[in-house]
Amino acid sequence: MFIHEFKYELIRVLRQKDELFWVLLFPIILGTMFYVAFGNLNNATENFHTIPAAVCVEAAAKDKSFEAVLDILSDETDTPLLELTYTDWDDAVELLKENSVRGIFKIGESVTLHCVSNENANAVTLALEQSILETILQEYLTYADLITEIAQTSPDKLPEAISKMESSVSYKKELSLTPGNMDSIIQYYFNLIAMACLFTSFAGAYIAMHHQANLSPLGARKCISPNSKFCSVAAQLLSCLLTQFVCVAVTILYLYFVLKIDFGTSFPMILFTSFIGCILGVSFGFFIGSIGRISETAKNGIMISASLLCCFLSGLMLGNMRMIIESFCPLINDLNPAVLISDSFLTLNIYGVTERYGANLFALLLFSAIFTVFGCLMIRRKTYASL
Amino acid sequence: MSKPVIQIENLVKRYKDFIALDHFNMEINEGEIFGLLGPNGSGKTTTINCLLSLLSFDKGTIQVFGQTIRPDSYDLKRQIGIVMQNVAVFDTLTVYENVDYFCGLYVKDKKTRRNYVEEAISFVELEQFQKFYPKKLSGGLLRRLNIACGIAHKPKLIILDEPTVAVDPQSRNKILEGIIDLNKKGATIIYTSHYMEEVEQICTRISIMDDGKNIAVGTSDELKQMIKKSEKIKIEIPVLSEEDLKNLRLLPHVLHADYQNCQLNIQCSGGRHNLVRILEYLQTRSLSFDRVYSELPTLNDVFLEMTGKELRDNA
Repeated sequence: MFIHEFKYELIRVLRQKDELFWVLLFPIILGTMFYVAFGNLNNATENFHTIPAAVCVEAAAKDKSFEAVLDILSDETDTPLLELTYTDWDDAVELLKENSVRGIFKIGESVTLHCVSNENANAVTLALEQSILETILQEYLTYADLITEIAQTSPDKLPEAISKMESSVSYKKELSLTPGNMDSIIQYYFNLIAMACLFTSFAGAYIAMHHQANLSPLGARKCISPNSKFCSVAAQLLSCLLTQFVCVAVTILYLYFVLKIDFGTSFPMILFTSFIGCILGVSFGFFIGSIGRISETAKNGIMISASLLCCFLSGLMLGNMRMIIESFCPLINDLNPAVLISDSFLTLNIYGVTERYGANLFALLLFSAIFTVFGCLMIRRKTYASL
Repeated sequence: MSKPVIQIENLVKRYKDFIALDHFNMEINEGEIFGLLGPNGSGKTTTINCLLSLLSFDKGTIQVFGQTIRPDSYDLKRQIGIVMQNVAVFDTLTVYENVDYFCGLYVKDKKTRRNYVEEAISFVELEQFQKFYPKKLSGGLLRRLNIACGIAHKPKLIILDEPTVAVDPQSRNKILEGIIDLNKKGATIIYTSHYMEEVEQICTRISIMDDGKNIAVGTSDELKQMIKKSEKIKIEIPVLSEEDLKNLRLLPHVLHADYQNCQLNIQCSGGRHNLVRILEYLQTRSLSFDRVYSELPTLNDVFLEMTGKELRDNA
């Protein structure tokens, strides 16, 4: 009996096109749209390019050390930070206007940086590159002042101070405390997977609705069959869970292998977490499907609305939404299944398997158990007051 | 004497203030095709749902095969097949898969099940549609699939709840022939319908229901004998005097006679040779006449006389 129900639920789900659309096709389409939309942003903000800059050394220049620093920054074998053009002031200004350089370091009695806004250039890229040039100069000036002060007050500690500065100064290498992907955009993909997990609720609801005589003729036919309703529901829920998980896994595989999204953690753990997410999605749908005498269309509407609301609050549409909610009502985040799922991915990515990750999974499984138990209580074998 | 398969006594079912079944009684014996006839809303489907333990009821007892049926009466349910009023099949499964799925809820052995499924598909003549999905089937074929799903496990008691609604005449005849065939193979059948011709055609015994009550039970002939009007005679006569009409009204067993638009309409009560007696009178008076019609009473006449309502009005 169990195998019979399991087999036919498997066939049914794999042929139910509308369910497959929501749980498989829609996340893939949305993921591709994210990839296209965020792709340019990635190139602009995350991929490092050598910054062209002009250097004008005036005859009155007393300090040669900044020149030496610039030479070091432009002379690295790996992608150098700077590409320098030594020239006079007029030519440098011309280069800046042509956008051939992003700024001019003028080394005279003091060292200054000159930048201009350029409407022809990509505003984000230009701002970022000018900001790096500004940082280089500010860091240099700060350290120069510091060394001068140490030399004047404690000359014996000067070698030690210089040594420490050399070891800590880095302009372009990020020191990360985690092997995970620190790209903030990854959060959108985690939310996307959470959404796919919640969309498995449609299949769960179908099972509940088709086990109740007062909700569908199929439910009535099943109710008069000589079988344990619990056995039938268990077989179908398990079958449904597996098929829905496969669909979500296909989405994750697509993101990982086709779109090359770096989830920053071990792939099996991502799959495992999404499996738990699917358990929650299916049980949530099962619960919604079992309540009241509401039409199938209305219940599907409730599930789409609830899933999308949860995803919206977790930051699927607005990246900082979750932080906004955390600041004024953190309880919503604690109860929001989409947040719990995406936060599990995020925790895995940044910290690995931690207490927080375990707490998230525990909460997801607890909610799933509550939904399933209440769903079973509502659809248990009984006579109805009306059909 | 055959054993009772179903015994319903004093069944009362209320929906708030509305009484759906009002002290309803019914006994169905083994081997019968029992018809539940009544207009929509008369309580036929409610009776079936109470019988299947799908609906709770307020009062009364229901026994199936001598036992009280409950939601977990699996042994009893295994002997029952139901063909619902609404088609209950999976759109995502083919004809074969649908029948196999529902048969599998009753029959565990795969080999036996395969034989049963093939027999059921053959019985409803859907062999060439085995790989079709329900959406590709016409209304009549879909109804036949619905029947196959309900009877594939070879139940002893088959309940057919208005299985021919919205079915074309050809498919309807196939379904009715199939029901008679199932009965010949040993199944007891409960057939609900508001189509009196169908009930009259196939049922061995009929219960006429109205407003949740059992108005009359018996064979078709027994029911017709319960009413006064037994025969309607229509004769086309070009000319008929008032005096002749009065004389005709005085003939034995004539309940009513009128003459309108060159047509003489006479209603007779029971009794034989009513038509012969009327025609003899017309001949003795040398009255010429054209066509003559004689109609025996229908179940609609029975229903009309017992309730004052037309059964067809709600059909």
